[in-house]
Amino acid sequence: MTNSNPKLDPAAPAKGPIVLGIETSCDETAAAVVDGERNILANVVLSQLDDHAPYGGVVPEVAARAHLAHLPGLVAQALEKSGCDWEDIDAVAATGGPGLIGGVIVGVMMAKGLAAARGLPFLAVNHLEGHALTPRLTDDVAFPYLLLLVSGGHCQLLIVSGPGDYTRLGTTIDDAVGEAFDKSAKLMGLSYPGGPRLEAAAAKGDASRFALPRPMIGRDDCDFSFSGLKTAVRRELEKLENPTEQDIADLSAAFQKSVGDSLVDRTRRAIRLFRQRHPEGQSLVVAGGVAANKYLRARLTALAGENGLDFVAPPIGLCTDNAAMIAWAGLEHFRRGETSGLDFAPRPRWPLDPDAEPKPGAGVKA
Amino acid sequence: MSVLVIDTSGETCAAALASDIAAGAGARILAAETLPLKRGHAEALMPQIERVLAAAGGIAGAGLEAIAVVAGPGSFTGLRVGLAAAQGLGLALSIPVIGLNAFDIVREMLSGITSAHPLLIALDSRREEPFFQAFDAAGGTLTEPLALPVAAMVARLPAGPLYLAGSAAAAVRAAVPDRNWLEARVAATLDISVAARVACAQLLGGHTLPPQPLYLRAPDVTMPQAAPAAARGQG
Repeated sequence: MTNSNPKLDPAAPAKGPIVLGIETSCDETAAAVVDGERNILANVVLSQLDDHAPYGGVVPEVAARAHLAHLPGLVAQALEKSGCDWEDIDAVAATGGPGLIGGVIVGVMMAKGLAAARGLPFLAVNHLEGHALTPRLTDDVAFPYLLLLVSGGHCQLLIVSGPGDYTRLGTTIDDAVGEAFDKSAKLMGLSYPGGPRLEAAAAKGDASRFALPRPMIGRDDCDFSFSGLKTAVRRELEKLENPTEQDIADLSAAFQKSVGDSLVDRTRRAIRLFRQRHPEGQSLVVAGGVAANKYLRARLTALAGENGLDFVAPPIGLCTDNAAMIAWAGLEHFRRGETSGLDFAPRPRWPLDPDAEPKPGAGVKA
Repeated sequence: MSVLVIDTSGETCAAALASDIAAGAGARILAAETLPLKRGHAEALMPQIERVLAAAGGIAGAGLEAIAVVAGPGSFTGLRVGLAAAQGLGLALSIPVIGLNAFDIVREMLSGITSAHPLLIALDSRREEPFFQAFDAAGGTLTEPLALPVAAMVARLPAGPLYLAGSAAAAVRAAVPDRNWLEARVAATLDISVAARVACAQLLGGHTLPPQPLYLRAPDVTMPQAAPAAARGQG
């Protein structure tokens, strides 16, 4: 259980609207309370890491069971920590997708029950929009901005023009970047969750020892591809036969550098497009779980600086899945008078830019 | 004062409003609705609850004193739809939420059986192993609710004639034809009005179950070396 947000200050007087948020789309069960003055009044997250570790990855049925077992207690805890009564809450928001549908259903039904009981509006929030709008919660970033959304399920470059208003400039055509981290870590024998462990190994490695491909660099679009990089990691491992700890560290560093080179090249192209369409735009925002990677953050910070853009990345605790971002995204829509019906159907797929062309190799990730 | 009862465990979506706990099994059904539904419970349930409660002046006017929800066995996803909604309602209304065992409801639905012989209830699980619970002639439990292969379950039962009921009864009879099965007729789906009276009786008697799912089966998972089917994300 964590409650580590720096802005968390239950003693501060809350300013309306106040929204309760719920997140259950992957392997974190979370509840939070946020107000219209960008105060996070409560933010509780329970990681299911230990439930899934024996299987080496998230098992959907295990996740759904754990969400149901823990969510009622977390909601009660978030409300208590926020210092709010039910009378103070103005709306209830929950992740409505995309994600593991069994978990999404638990959060959506809990939120519908809470909302119906108190006669409150219900808001089904796009999980990706939670990540995308977090910089407005943490840093009050103005629309429009350029967003690099990097997580276990997604890798996209988007122009964010407003709540519900996204233009996709690029996407992965196969694996998501966090997925590439986790799969490569698994190949290297690093334990679950692999992404953060690969980052730790890379910190002790020499990236120049292995020449890994730098996918998509120089291509005339803003798309990403990471499955070839993962295959290259497998080939290097096969050559090593019995890799030492230093071999793994060096290979991790090379992998991370390739990912960084690819992200920087693709994002640089996207900055050019963003500038053409929105000369007034000022910010490059990085969000999603991979934004917690310090090496990649540093590379992207430098890129933003070179291009005269402000670099914004939420604090690490708000990059990984949490409910404060869901409450906030719900609040942004609620302020515009938008709500969801109690007949809302949870959505396993829910693209931010519905007009963007599908990428068959990436499926739901694009 | 009233009790809201929900069932999303099978191929219906159902809600009922019962008059009051004090009436126990004699509670009146103020409103009830059952929709045949193979999927889509998450969409259908909450509007259905609002329709049922409208008969008593809406959620504020109904004066709910408890919520009961079928906790299983049944469809895993279906159970979670009902349990999550019930717990959300209960949490925000500060009223108790209880779980109902589907076998208790089926037992109340049975007609035409005497107390001369034990009873086996077998419910379809959409898997090889049906869901079972057995009761003795006096109505006490012979076994807990279980998911077992038919032969293994039948081996646990006392010799002599047995009533057999439930949606998997035909499958059990086909698998073990040489038992002295006595027929006990019951509808294939749970009756929400009966569920409501069971809930009121249990609340009145203080013999309630927590609102926790009766899955009866572990999740289908394989260890990583066998089939790494699961994907892990960083966010």
